[in-house]
Amino acid sequence: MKAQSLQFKRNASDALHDENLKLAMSFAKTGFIGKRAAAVAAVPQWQTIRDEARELKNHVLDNLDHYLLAYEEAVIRNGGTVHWAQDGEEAAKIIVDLCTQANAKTVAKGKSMVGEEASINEALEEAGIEPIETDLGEYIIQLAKEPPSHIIAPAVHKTKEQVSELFHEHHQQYGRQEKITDRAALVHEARVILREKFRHADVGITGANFLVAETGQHVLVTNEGNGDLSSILPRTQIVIAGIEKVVPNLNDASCLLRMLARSATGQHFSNYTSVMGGPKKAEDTDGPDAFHVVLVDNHRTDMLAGDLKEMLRCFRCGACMNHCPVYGAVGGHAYGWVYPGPMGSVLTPVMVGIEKAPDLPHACTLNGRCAEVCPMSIPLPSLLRRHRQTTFEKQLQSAHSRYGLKVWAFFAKRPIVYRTLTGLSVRFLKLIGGRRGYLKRLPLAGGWTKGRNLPVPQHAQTFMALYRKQQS
Amino acid sequence: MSSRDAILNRVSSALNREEGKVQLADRPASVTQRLQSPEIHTQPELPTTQIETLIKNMETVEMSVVRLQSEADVVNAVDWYLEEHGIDGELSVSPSLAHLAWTKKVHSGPATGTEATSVTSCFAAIAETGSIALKSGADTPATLNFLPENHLVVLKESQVVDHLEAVWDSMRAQSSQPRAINLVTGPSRTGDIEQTIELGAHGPRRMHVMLVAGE
Repeated sequence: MKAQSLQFKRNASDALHDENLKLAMSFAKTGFIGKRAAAVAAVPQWQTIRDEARELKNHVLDNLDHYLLAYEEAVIRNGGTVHWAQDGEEAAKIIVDLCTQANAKTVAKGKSMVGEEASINEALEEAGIEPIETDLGEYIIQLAKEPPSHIIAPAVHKTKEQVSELFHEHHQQYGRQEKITDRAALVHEARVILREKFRHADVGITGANFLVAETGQHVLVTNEGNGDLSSILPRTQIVIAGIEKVVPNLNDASCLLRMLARSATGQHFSNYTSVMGGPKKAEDTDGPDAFHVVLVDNHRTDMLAGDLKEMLRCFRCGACMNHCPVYGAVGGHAYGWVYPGPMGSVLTPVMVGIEKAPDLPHACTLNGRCAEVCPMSIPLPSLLRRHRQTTFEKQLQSAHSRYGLKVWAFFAKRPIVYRTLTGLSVRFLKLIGGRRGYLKRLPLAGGWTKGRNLPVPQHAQTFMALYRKQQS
Repeated sequence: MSSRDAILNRVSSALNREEGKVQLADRPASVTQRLQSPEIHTQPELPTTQIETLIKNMETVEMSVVRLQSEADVVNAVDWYLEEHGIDGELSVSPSLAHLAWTKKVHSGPATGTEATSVTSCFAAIAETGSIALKSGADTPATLNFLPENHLVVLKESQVVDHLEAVWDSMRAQSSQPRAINLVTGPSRTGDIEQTIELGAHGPRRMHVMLVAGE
């Protein structure tokens, strides 16, 4: 998909006025946060496991070339083929070629975020091959012709009524005239229709949560079982994964699995955790005849070389966006590309170019909740600050904010002047807004006070002055 | 240059390797060790005994569990379960269970896609997660785990392990590796419509475990 991140401000503003989105996001907010907290609290060793996971992933990144070679060797030993793609475009081309060679008419797809990076669906459609998303959320947004708005709950922005409309519109071709609104009935209808699609799919494409160098297998986690059906039923199985997904062995994968579901949905374990690899064995009576893996770089090596290396620990659980107040208010589409929320604001500028997404690193209050809940201990606010620095250096911000920052920097570098001036302004603010406790309008910052009031200081002293007084 | 070499070159240069792109033969000892003798990371402690934890975790994810004295009771337990839930339709069993004295007509082999119910054996069960571990193979085709609406599993008490790693250890001990190991933790579900869980998304709507005493 083409990045629309340049329009972040306009998209965000539209999103804030979307009543359906507000309703849909309210379901997500209450669900994810509470369930994750309970699941994490139930594991007293959480922090130890989290520390081990960070060390494990750091070790992998420091030896990434060795582990990729080991994984490749093991896949070949299992009878599979490994393909390498430098970017999304090359990945899509490899996949279209593989599907063409398999004489594929339809392809069953499990949800894959790197597949979204590569815009596989568009590429397949252009080649006259029908891709069918089988994860219910992905299926819903495929019908709606929309990109995902959340990495694990792609249709989180849709209400039940909107799903009902979509199914009614698209399922009449299968002889389903009646409009259904019951949630269970909607799930069942999708099951029946997609089951037929599975049966006729020539190729199955899924992502992978982990690539296991020890065995040449990959670990695939779903709750619906669609990833497994996509892997078992079609003649050809294709797995697409970022190069950072490799882990040394199955015990290492277990360490990460203990955190993945808890962080993502608050489940202690996902319904289906499958360890698969290679085509079916001589004695097997089911499974695919051919097995391919497409390993995708798409700027991951740039991150490995630079100061965003820690982002490569991310295993795509979505906890950061679930806890992000900005994401919670504007939803995923405003971010304009594949990855939303804090992790998206770090990844998108790298993958599509910071010139095309200069506002994303600024769509953050630096409240730090994302880093607090990140199971891989990725310092997301610090990484966003690095992007901010780049947008400043490359002069990608508006002249206004650059000028403002320069003025602020001038004073910040002169502490005595800074303290005197802030001391004066605190007293002034208290004087003009003290009785009400807030200001309705702020000169030079009308935009800021348009949507909210500015609280004025409770005391006629700065924080630093009060702090010093309390210390002494 | 192939994309493979280009990517590996970039990785090696990002990691400041003096020797340039690495070869399989350059593998350092720390990597070899992790590939050949996997260490066990911190595991959550089981809150109570193995079997109690297993059953509690299974019930949390809507798997029902019944305990049987011997494998000979399996056929009766299946008949009872199907009647209790008013389940008709075809019955498929994994070839590993074809030898039981079935009272109904059963199909033995991979899923036909038309059966309502499957009965399968399993490879292990994990107390920590409440998961059934199933391995693919001619005796236990993987399609039986996913296509039917109802999945009944025969589990022997001796097959229960505490943690995930024990399953991988048993796999490593085997001479040939299966194409797939499926860890199944409850019936198929989705929360994709308004974050409300519905069972039976693509896989089974019901899962029932028959836990057989002894070896």
